[in-house]
Amino acid sequence: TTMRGGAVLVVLAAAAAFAQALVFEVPNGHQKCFSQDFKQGQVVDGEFEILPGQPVFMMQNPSLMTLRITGNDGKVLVDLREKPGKQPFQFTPERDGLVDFCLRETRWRKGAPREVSVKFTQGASVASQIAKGVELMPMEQAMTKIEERAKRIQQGTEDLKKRGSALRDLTEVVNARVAWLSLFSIGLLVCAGVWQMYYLKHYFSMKKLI
Amino acid sequence: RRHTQTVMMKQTTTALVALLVVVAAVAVADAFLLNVDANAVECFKEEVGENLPVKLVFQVIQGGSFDIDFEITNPKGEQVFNGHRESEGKVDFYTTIAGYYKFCFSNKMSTVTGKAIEVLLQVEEKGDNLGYATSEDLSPLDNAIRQLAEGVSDVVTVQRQMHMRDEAHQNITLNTNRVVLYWFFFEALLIVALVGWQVIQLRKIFETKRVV
Repeated sequence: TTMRGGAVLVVLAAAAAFAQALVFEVPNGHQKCFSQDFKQGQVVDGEFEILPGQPVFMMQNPSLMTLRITGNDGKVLVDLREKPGKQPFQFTPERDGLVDFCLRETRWRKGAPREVSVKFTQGASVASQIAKGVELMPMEQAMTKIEERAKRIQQGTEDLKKRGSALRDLTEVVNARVAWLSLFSIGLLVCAGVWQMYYLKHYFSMKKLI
Repeated sequence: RRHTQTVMMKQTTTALVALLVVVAAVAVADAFLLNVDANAVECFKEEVGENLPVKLVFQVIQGGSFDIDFEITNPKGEQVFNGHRESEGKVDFYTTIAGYYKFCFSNKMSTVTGKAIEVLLQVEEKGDNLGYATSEDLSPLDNAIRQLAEGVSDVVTVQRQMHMRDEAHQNITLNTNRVVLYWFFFEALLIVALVGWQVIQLRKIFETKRVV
């Protein structure tokens, strides 16, 4: 039992790691945003924190610093106001696509820009499985993770193939467009030249100069 | 004898768990999209421990000439890497000191167009060093699995890079498509205007001559 306890401790220590942990410096009255692609249906776990050592302003309404997470369709998934300490958040994207993370300091205040940390991971971490009481089989778990990633690579290759052919088609369209427009340009030039000569001939004959 | 057996079992289990930790922690981050307005600089930081690998891959996928200036600064404020007018970049380095590393993307070269950059940042977070087994602790099979895990993660990263590159190329091609059309209209207008002007000038010359 002590063995397993030790094992759980080790894994839990690593479980604190999020896939992405970013710190942004948000000045007064500014907004810092970034977007991330998420898959539909899988839970995204995250953490929002105003880094320790900085003032935190507990205001009623509106909050000074907010984290707003908006989905693909414009729907607000998470809306957090500033509070001391780490604030966990969680959402499940309803569709594949870009999700916007926006950090905003709404009201004007004097002082240095504050550093805010946003962390997130998509997909259940190994530690959460352990927390559920799943039997720990290290090699099996490791192989499962590798298998999972290999599948992801396979899907990725298919996706890249499709994108590659779409790009080829697009380039063909541009190619054709350039060819046609060049042809039109030449045609226009020739027509203009010919028109010029005929018009001038007609004009000068009219003026009895020819 | 029983005691030795228990100790050995404990060591094996710890090693195996450590292996799992290594595989799990070879976590693959996904790329995020960052918008940099014209004449602006966008920065973000990430906390990294000492002597850990940091991998930054970025691709300018939208805007102007599809290039950007970037700079990586260590916690002391010293520059680790920098690039000028790069359309894509791949930076791999090991940290020398622990702390917040700053990654900045500058669009100061652009006066009008904003840029969109896809950034893939992969670091091993501070605190991940707990319980890691080194190659000596793991048996050959475990070592092989560890290498496999690392290799597979590398492939995922490379694939993401290819995806980002393709996005940039698509946007460039769409841009070209649009620009070609605009140029044609401009050219057509110019031709018509020029021809018209030539005719008018010729008429003027002969009219003046007549008067004289």
